[in-house]
Amino acid sequence: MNNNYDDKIIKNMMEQIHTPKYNVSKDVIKKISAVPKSKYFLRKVLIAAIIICLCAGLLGALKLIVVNVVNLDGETSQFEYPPNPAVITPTPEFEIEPIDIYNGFFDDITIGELRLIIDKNDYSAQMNIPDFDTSSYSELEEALKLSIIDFSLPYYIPDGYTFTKGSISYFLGEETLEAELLLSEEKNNNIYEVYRLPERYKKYPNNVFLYFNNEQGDEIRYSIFLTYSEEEGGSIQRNITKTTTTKTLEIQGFEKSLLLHNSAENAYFLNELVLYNEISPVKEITNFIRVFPKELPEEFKSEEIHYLTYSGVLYLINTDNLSEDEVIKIAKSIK
Amino acid sequence: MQENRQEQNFNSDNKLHIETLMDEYSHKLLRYCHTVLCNYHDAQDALQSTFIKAYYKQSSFKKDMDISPWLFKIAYNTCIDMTRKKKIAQILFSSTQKQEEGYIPQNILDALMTLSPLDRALMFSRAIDESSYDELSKIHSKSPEALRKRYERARKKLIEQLKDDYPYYAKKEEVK
Repeated sequence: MNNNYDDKIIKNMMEQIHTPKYNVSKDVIKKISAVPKSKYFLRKVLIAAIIICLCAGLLGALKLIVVNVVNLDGETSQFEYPPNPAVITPTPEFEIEPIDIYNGFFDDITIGELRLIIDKNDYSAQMNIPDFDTSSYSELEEALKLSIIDFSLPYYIPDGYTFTKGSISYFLGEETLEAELLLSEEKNNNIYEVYRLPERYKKYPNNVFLYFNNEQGDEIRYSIFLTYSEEEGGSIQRNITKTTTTKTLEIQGFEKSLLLHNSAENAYFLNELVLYNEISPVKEITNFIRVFPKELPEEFKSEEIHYLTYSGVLYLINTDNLSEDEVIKIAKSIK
Repeated sequence: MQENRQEQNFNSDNKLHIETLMDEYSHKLLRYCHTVLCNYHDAQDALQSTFIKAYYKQSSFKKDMDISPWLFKIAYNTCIDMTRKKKIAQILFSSTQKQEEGYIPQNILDALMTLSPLDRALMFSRAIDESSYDELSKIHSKSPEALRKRYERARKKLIEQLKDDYPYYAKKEEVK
């Protein structure tokens, strides 16, 4: 009875939200049927890629012949088949769409493998930032070891919570993409190319998420964000609103630690811990990462690519239903 | 009846009839996104993305599936993705959030913002869409029981937030 009454209250309240009608059809149809402006350029890139692939194949075959000829005179030798990577010139990337659009292309993915999908017709998802997803904590740790950044992970998680999944997203850190073409498929009048990326792309992470859940559906999300700046040592500014209460904590290993409790701005982060440390964890600060421009230029212009450096690492703990003490306990266990 | 309605969503090439879907679901999904994101303009963006994704993801939809939870799942994931991106942008670049322009009464907006996006989604689905926990389980990939507990907890919290200025709540107190 009470529940019904409460439901009515909620319904009445929700009906006070005024949502004006919006004719979405026009915008959607326009986007779906839009012919890419620089299709001609893409065609040229595709033709160039095919020629390069053919050349790479020919060179590989030539090398095979040369090595075999040389081996005729020598003793038995271990011949290593030359790799035949598909080398393509990257098309500029602008807005990144969630990778789940292409889930079908990940069905046979092996653990630890990075894949890149290129959608030839859809600019909004032309080149996805590759993701690494796992439900194994040790696999996640192994993948993180390949990064140029030293990450810190929590060693205390409250009772009842277990690790459920983790993900790392990466930047494509180089101008020329070297990757193995696994599949080229036409779907819904689009051509999709699926590439397998070499391990070295795991050097440049963008962010890392670890999820811990209990049986009640509560979640602890541990997030690591790499911050970057056009100038080395740039600092982060955080939005602290009137509804945020802050408390400075002394946690070993972190220069600045701040506990933010924000109940009004966004309750999804009810208890939020931000541990911010400066550039010290970065091993190779000379490595550049590449960030793509947001606007779609008519053709690829190298001067429009921004080069940024990692400037710091930001750690966050977001929880649904934990006490402040528990959040601090997790923070203190981060090593 | 259900089968006939499902048929309407496909054209002669056996592809999803996106226009029909937009006619039927766009306002309901817009209200859903508005509740989850608490921002009308973001909800419009989310709605657009939802239908574009539905169009490109149609190979993952099977005719024997129910279209409604499939669409709501895409909409929910789109909203979550937008929330995360906004949160990251806010933290890293101090970007300011576009304010809701009076579409949601301030007291309700404040109360809704104390809930997580999932809780707000559940509020809409239960109170307005009258979805069952089994249906919601398909959208959120959580057990019906976990979602029921979650909804009840969020409902209690929301009513608690509004107890001072909500007349219906006051009436209930008088009855007691």
